Amino acid sequence: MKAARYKSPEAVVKAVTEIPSPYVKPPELDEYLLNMNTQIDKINDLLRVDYAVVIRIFKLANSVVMGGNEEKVLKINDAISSVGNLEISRIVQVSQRNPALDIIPPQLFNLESFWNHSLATAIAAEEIAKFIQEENPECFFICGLLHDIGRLLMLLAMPKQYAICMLEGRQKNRSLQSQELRVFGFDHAEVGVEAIKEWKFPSFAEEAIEYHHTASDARKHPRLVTVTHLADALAHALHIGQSGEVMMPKIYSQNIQEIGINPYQLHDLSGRVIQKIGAKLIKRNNVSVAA
Amino acid sequence: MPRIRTEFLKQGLKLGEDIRDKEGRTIMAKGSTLDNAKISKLKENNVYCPEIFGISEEEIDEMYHDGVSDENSTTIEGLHSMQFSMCVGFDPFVKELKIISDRALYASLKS
Repeated sequence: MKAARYKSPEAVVKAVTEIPSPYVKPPELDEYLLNMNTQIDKINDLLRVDYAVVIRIFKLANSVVMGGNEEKVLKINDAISSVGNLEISRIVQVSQRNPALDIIPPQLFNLESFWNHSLATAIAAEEIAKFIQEENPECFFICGLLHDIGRLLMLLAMPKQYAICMLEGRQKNRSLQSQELRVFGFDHAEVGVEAIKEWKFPSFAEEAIEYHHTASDARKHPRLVTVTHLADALAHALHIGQSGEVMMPKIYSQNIQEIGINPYQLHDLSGRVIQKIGAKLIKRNNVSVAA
Repeated sequence: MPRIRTEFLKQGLKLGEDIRDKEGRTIMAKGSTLDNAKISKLKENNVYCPEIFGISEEEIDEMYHDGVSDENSTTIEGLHSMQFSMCVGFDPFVKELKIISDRALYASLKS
């Protein structure tokens, strides 16, 4: 059977109907959802670590069904409130595997490692946002969590071609992003932007995802873009998971300086990320770092 | 002045900065010599990576590298040269990211 090959980011997004995740529903979640007095922050803490759950909640909260045509929900707490506990309970039954990923050698990509990298970038983005005293650090968290979602979609839509693309990139010592452009004519950032438009995410996330590898191209939200870019770099440097890319992205130092961070502060920020991420990492064969 | 992740602090090192609580009160003064109680206090107060006085970056690297085999060190060096091949080597941010990466890899070998 000839493997599918999609010619545009839009086609890739439309080809994927289910986002797999290694997330396992925490045992205390049902209890929280049944108890109407549970603080929403507690539910948020358990749910926001998983990109697949966050995508489902925002999709639903901002869908036409939920009356979300007027003003998009921007915060996870608000999204949880508007969706309701019953729907949340259904949403967290995330598909844990997708046969499309089975053909990819685990040395090239594994879902647990992708999950860990996404969460590490999200936590790093939130910590940097707090550090530079941004008003809504959770927006930064969401952008970090979803920054590489386009890569997962490319893998799911075109697993065979993407595996060859990754392998060739590693053999020729090329970054995966440049390899994507060579092979497919578009990259994971472009696919990610199309996805969050399709999923009706707040528009601030579009620029952060589109320019997380080219921070100097940001126009409307330069601080959000630069923080996402730096958070991705910190997650790479800390070797917490991997999205398939083994190389440190090009660093946009001028932009990082402009948001008020100096090189030596990276050590303190990396320490914060390690403390915050703690036991949240998903382990595979007891390896959670440099997977 | 170099910074060290709290879990790698050792007794006898000296603080290179005042450590303050959220209200700005000093909880440990610059120049304090660290013992186990003070190291625990730093952890309890969510101090992640304090400045340390009287120690060079090379000495800190040695603390991280201590006990790691030559074979693993060679593997880490190989990983590093590939990982940073797209970056400008003299960029100060890249330099610090390389240090963080190096120490994260060595720390993972010990944990």
